[in-house]
Amino acid sequence: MSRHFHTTALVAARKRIPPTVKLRPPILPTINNITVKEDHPLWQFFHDKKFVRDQSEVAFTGRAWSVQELRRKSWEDLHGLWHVCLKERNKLEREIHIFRQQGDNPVGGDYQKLNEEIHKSMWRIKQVLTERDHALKNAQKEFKVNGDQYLQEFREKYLTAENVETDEWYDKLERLQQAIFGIPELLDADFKVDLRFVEGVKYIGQLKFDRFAEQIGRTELAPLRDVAELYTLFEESASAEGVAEACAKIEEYRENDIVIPASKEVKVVQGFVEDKLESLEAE
Amino acid sequence: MSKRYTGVLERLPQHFRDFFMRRADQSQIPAFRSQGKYIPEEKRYTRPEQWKVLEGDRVMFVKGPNKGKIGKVLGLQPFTNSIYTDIAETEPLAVPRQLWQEDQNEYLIDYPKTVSPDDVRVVATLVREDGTEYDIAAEDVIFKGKYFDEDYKKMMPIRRVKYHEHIIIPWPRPDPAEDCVFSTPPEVAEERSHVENSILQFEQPADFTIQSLRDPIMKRPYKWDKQVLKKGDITKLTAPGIPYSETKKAMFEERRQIRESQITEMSAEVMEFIGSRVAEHLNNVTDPNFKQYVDKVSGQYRKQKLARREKEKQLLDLQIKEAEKRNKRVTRASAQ
Repeated sequence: MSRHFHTTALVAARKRIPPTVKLRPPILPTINNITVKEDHPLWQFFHDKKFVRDQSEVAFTGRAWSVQELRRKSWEDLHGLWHVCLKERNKLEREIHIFRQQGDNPVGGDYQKLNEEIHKSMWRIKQVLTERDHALKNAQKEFKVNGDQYLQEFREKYLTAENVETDEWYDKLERLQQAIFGIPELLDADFKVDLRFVEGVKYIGQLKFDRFAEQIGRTELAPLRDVAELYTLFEESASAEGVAEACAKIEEYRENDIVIPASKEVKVVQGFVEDKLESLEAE
Repeated sequence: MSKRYTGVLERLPQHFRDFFMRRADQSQIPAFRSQGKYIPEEKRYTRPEQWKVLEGDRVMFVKGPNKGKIGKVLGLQPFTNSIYTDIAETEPLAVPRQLWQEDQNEYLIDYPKTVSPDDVRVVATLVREDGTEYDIAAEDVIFKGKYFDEDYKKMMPIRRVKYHEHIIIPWPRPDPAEDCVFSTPPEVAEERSHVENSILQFEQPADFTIQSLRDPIMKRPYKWDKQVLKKGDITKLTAPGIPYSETKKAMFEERRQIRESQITEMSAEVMEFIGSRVAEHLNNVTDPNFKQYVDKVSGQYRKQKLARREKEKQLLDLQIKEAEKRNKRVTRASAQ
């Protein structure tokens, strides 16, 4: 008879291991029995798959990136730097955490100092991005107030300049259309034309016509009727020959008697751009 | 553990900080006690102008047992604002085993004592006209001008002897620093890859906002989004008032004149007139009760009352004197 009130567990335990099973020595838990995949994502928190680095491995002689240096870097570069810094800090924080748990103070060591330096670089990246964003917004706000005046002044200078068929003026025109109308030097395959782009086309086309019409004797074409004509001028080079070529095309175009309404301008210019890109690809 | 839940010494007021530091020191055996005084982080020296000496400088001691000797600065100890020198005194220091140096086999080591940079003077070597060299110890140094130092790779102040500013004491040359694994080559650091060329497009992705840089669950409001305006902010934000127009100025002048023409004091004639009218009215009153009331509130009544009281007092005094005399006479008679 059992002395215990509970009998089920004991009975069950006896039954659990069948008598045929041979008892073997226990397998002690050891790190050698654990295998981790080579590409396990958590390896990113370890340097060279080491538990903790040596003091000498984190010794450094440099300093954090300064704001002045970071201001010269593109978005891609800053993003890359941020990523590198973040990964390094992950490793360092893990190591510092281990030191803390063991009661050692890593503050005196290079781990904490390096961590702080990297942190400095990181907040400076944020600072630079904030500055850029503010600068962009301020520029847009200011352009709303005196953008028209600026364009008018540019136009006057262009029309009154002695010779505009120089590299300097070509560069200026290119920079203007990039800066204010967002017309890039080289178009991507999936470029989307917007109102601003159309405005730029109109401004540049008109500018070229006003400058060279008298010189080549085609003043009878004025006023230019629609965006198609202006785009022809915009596309040609900013020289007397280019404008003369465009004028010839315009004359040809006017035989059709089609005038593009303002509502369809964006669509039409998009078509022109796509045609242009296709023809370039074919070449 | 987060700093939020632990006692952070930097947050306490100075007297508490000193108290806790002293307590912590007292609880240690002498070998473990800290050497110098604890300096809070904001008061630690960071610039060469504050240190006045740097690693490699020759200095003369003006205090302590080494007074008058010339030594060399071996390093700086920022957390006590003091310097290590080559001829410093030493004191035994116990080092835990995990911090032992390679050739160490004892817990106790002789650790050099540090000295304050105020207790040393910088020594400079000058050359006479005939080519012989001699040393000077600058009582104090001042800093005027700056130059870019190729070895330190930064702008350094020019160190001069105070009151003899033409004598420049050059900074010691630092040990050349080698690039470490975390270094970036200078040509990569200086390379320019960002040019602002448009007010419309920016190379960053379209969904980027400054807000996305901030921690979305941060409890503290962003420091520039001010919720409360202070007095100074309001003064800055308030536009100056418009100057008064000519019409308004004329109105102010007119008001001033009206204010000045107002009579504030009664003239003698008016007082006479009002007095005579009141007297006339009161003289015609026949009611005896009213007469009594008028007598009571008039100035005469109080004078009469005071005079009456004075008289009564005199009478009482007289009676008291007579009574005293009488009492004396009675006591004398009974004694006889």
